[in-house]
Amino acid sequence: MELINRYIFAIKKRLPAKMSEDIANEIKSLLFDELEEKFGEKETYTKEEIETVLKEMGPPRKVAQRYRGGKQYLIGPEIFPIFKMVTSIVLGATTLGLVISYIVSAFTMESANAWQVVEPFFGFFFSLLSAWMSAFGGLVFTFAVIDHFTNLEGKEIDLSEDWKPSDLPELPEEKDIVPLYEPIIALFFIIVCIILLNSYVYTKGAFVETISSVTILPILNIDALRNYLPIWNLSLGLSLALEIVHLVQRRRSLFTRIFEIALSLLSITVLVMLLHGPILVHFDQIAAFFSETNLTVASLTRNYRLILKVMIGLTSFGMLINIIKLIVSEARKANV
Amino acid sequence: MTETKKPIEGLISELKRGTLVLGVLSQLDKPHYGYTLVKSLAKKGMDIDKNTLYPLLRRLEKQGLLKSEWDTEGSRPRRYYQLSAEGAHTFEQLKNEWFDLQKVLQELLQQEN
Repeated sequence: MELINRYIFAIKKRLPAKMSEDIANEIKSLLFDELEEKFGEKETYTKEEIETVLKEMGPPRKVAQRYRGGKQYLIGPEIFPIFKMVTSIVLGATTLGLVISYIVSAFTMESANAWQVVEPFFGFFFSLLSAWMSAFGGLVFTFAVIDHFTNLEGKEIDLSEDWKPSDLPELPEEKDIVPLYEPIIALFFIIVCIILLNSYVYTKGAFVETISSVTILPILNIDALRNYLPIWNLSLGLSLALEIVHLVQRRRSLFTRIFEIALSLLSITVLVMLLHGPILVHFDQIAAFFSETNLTVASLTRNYRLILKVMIGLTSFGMLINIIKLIVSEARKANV
Repeated sequence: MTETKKPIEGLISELKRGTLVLGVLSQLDKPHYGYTLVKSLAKKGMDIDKNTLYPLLRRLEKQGLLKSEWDTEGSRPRRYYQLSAEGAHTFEQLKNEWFDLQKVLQELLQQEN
């Protein structure tokens, strides 16, 4: 009897908890029917008798698989190729971002002893590992959610129903086609940017404060950076989403164009905040370092603001052109 | 797995698979438990793998075509399956479909001969 219980246990653990008990009971009852039929009704059966029946029933994995049926995966075959592509981009970019931030932090610190060079190296591997894990976990979660809401397999939906050839999306115009490399490169750089910015603020800032032997010139104002970080992350995150849409649809649509305009509006807001908020660069340190030249804090600040104003102007100009293009193309479509 | 088999084997099992549900439903106007159903089908010439039949019964129940009940009165508890009202209706429709199909195929195959 122990053999039967082992067999049932092996099947049960491969079944969804909700129905495993019921199926297990049923299989057990069926096994005893077989035993009774083959070897007569008795209290106990020999090991050989039980083995014969179990062999006939088949390996637990196979039995459980037949009972499970339906969808048994998180990310279905339909979206798997895109999942694979996005995963390689994200993992590649994550690695590059962390490598750059490690090299920067290794070069900008003066080594008092060997351990201080080696220690961040270990830290680098751990942060790389944990970044891979969380990036991969996030991707699996995202794609599993997408799969859950878009997957038709296993559901009782007739794919051929309600489908008209005229429903096929129209071919994009030449200018609307997004070549594959564009979103891939964009995704890569956006992720590198996110990692560099965040690791700079969270790790580099800590380095400067904790390792006393570090005598680097703190050019960037960590407090100011930290202040702007949430909105930068928001802006980068939204760009990331836009590029994923581009990657999936491979065309610009009315939606992505409006999204793009909204993103430039956000960039302008960020630039205006920079113009009026705390200054990102420690101009006093720079002015002190170049004290023999005629660089002053005031002149540096003036130029910093001027650059920001030019950037605001350029971004606004670009946005304006995009809006005009959008209106013209929509008007043309309306007239056709 | 199926790729290594000869095409004829795959085609035959595909053909049989289509008729499986019809065969099973035809026996369930009276309650049966898994084991007696296998025997009853086999006696009438329809050999069906236990590993196919038992999960199929559950699937048909989930679709509302069968109802089941544990009978605890015998020497051991057994789960009995029987057609539900919806199942009986579906069976009639399937049966008619089968007869029509049979007629068409008969003609097609006789033409061939």
